[in-house]
Amino acid sequence: MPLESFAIDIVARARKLGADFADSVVIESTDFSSVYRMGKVEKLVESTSRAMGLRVIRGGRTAITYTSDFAPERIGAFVAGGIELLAYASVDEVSSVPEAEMLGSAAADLGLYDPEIEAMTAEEKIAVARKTEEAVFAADKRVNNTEGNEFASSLITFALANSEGFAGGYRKSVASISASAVLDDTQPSKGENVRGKKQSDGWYTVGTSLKALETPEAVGRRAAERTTRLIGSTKVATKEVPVVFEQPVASQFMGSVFQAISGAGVWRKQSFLAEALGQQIGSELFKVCDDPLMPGHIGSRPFDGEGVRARRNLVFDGGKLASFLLDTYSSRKLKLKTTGSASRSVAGRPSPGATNFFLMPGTVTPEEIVASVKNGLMVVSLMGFGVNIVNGVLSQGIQGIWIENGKLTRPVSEMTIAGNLRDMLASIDTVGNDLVFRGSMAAPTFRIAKMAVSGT
Amino acid sequence: MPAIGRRGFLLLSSTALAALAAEDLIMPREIRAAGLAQSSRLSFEDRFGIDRATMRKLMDVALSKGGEFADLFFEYRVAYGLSFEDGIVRDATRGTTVGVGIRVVSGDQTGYAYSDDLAYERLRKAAETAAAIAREEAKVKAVDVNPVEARDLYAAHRSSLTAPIAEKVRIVERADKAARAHDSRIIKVQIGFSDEVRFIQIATSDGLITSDAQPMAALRISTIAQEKDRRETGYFSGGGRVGLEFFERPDAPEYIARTAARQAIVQLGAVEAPAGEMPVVLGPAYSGILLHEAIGHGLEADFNRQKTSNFSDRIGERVASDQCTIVDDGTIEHSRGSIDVDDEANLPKMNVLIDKGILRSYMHDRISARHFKTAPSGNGRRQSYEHYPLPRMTNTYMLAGPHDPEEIIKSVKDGIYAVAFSGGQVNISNGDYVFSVTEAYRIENGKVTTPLKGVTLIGNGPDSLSKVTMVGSDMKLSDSLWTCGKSGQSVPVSVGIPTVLVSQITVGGTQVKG
Repeated sequence: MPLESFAIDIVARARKLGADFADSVVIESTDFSSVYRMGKVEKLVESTSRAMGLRVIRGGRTAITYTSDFAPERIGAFVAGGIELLAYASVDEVSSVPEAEMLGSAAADLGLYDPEIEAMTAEEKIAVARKTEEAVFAADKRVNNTEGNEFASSLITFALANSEGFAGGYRKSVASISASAVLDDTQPSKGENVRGKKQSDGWYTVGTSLKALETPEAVGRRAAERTTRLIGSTKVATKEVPVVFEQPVASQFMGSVFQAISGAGVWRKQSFLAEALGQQIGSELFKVCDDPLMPGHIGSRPFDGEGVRARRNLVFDGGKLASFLLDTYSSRKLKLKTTGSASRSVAGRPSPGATNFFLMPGTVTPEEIVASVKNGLMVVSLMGFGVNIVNGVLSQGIQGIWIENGKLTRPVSEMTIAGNLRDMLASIDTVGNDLVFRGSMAAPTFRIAKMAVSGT
Repeated sequence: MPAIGRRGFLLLSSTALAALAAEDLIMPREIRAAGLAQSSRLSFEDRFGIDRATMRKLMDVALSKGGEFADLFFEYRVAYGLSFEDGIVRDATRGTTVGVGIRVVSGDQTGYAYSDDLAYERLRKAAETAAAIAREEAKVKAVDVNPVEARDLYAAHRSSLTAPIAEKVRIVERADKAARAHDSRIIKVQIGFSDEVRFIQIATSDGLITSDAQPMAALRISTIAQEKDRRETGYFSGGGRVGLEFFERPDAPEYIARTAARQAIVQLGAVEAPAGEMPVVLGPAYSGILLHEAIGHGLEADFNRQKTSNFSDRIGERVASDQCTIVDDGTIEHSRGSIDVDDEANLPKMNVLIDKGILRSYMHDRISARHFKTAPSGNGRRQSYEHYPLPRMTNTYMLAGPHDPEEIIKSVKDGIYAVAFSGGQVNISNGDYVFSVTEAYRIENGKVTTPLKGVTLIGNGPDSLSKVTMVGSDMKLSDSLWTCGKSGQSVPVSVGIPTVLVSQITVGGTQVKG
């Protein structure tokens, strides 16, 4: 594989110039996007790009350089530049050099490359975007606009080599279909000078193969359904009630859970769970795992961003915090072993990242969860960045649907939910069976016994 | 891959120092060789052989399928970073990216292709790919290029690219010392210093050519304070399109550091925030995030061309109280959101968006300006050569009003005083916006009292701006490091506002009354 040999060559050059340790990552990506809107192609983007990153360590000092310039006559200067930069870094007593015996690629074929995505012509891809839009408008005649409907694909080659003898690479294909529905909400709005209010929502599907995707018809229809149910949203009174996180929102919530158990935040004490290893944190239903070895899944990979062999990690076992997710540096800071969770971009040092990070499903259906609520809220979208991982305080904007006597009754917006992540995890009292991966974070619908919901 | 959807958002990057372009230090040998500093512009002809004849040929290829307009966007970016933590420079980073983006426009359709290889064959192929958005015979020919005379808003005495790295390390060490000295309960200080120059060159088929060298330097500090089992965080940043002299002023890094430390210490005494609607006084400068979210994104003309914004077809209508005059101005010297020229070769200017509460104009790129039959407003911006331009904000602020800030606080019996923020987001279609407050206090009987734990404020754009009942005389532009996200593209912006009173906003705390 040419990219892999390229990385090996960069590492060899760095060693020759005096690095104690070097690793190099090279990424090539061929990207396509077609956005179809109101009957025509509005945006068509197609390109291939490459970038390489080099990390060098000498005498405990670390420097990182990266470039998109692959001109052979400038490679020597690129590597020398990294060595030169070492003079400005301090000596770090803690080494980030991975242990040689942990390096390697998982043997399993993860099935991350679908040649059918590569084989699709631009016309075929545009046709998918068009069919998606047609489905958006066919689903409900109140839907009269869209922000655009897209088919996108990326063919990615990732290669990594280090001076401890690791060299590896893999290809991944990713395709996605997304739909957007917009409509004029003619229900009278409260508030001053509020006119011309619209409602919008969307849906998407993403996977490493075409067969893993929902159909354009299903994606378009779902976008329309999610939007029409928001018509006439109002703000209701502030109160404490049970809160149901609908599956897409539940999946988004897992991002905050990940941050709280990522070694990068834990060793810096930037997490409310920094000292919680081995403690019962969540309810017994809270079982979370990070698994890079799931065939065909979007977060899967045979080795991590340091060349450490991929493995499945159980993070919460029946609510007990069983493991952080660590790269080599954070594991040494915490006097633990790496969990093979390093992610790597060309522009930075390795840092723990999620692969397929998910809440394991329960047995009840989402409908049964809604039916279990006498008076409460189902959150259908979250807004803003109001999650503080250091103290666990969460306060986020929401759109949702109010539940009365087990039935979804009326849409609400311009409201917030607030609580403390520790309390929230402990009071997850129902977990649904509807786990679907649409990215590297996933969770089924779940219910939190009680949260503060702020409105009027 | 779709992430947060197509909502616009604004984020003050906090602990994710590394997430936003890692950067910093020594001058790259290629820049040194070319004798370049951040105030000088890069010759893409000298460095990459991109001369006018080459650009003309590429333009012909781009327009060969019937496109009406084409442009070439060359970019060469050099970025440096220092990450400092626990008293040491943990790593030093340097990166260069180079590439060209070729765009062809046909009506409101855009074909776009980019290449990080500037060899002619690759460029020709990119031009062909972009051309394919149109499917006819060529109908437009490129016009000979005329240079656009741009001003220089970033004149720096001490270009960060040419300054010795050791001087940047000294700035970081000053900040570290000040943060630790602020209070013994500060247990962690994490600092990032980054600086970059983005050299661009743009040529358009209707005859414009221009170049710019856009510097950006930033000092970001996050702190953790601990008392018994309680840990709280603080974050503050400063910088802009400035040289090193910005940070070398007396007390400059110290001020940023102390603010980050003070926030964490204040939070140690913070109590749970109330839930429900109440009056909110927004402090000067940083509260400008309200404008960015409540109306800024909704006035970007692409959303209004598509009629997906709640402000579509509302020019001339009242959308705010008569105390509100709000502008977007890309021409403020050294400000983070400023640009000598936008990424479509148009000159930025001060655009009045809302005049005494009446909606006057949208922010345009070329495509939307053509649609609305108006002149481009200099708001066509892109993250990099890998992205097509979109209407984006620059520096968005509200003009000063008549009230004494003290008097505004005194007028509130029971409410909240919000001072510092970490980020916000808006739903363009219904106008609902949120922003996250990281430093806020209770106001009781006209006095600022207890600090509150972080909360989200949520409201509807026109509704909240119509409830702005007092505007202070203390307008200030923020020099924090705001990054605006839209359609997967990030661009640097700034915000500003005087102290204002919003008579009613929903506060997303946990303390439910009764």
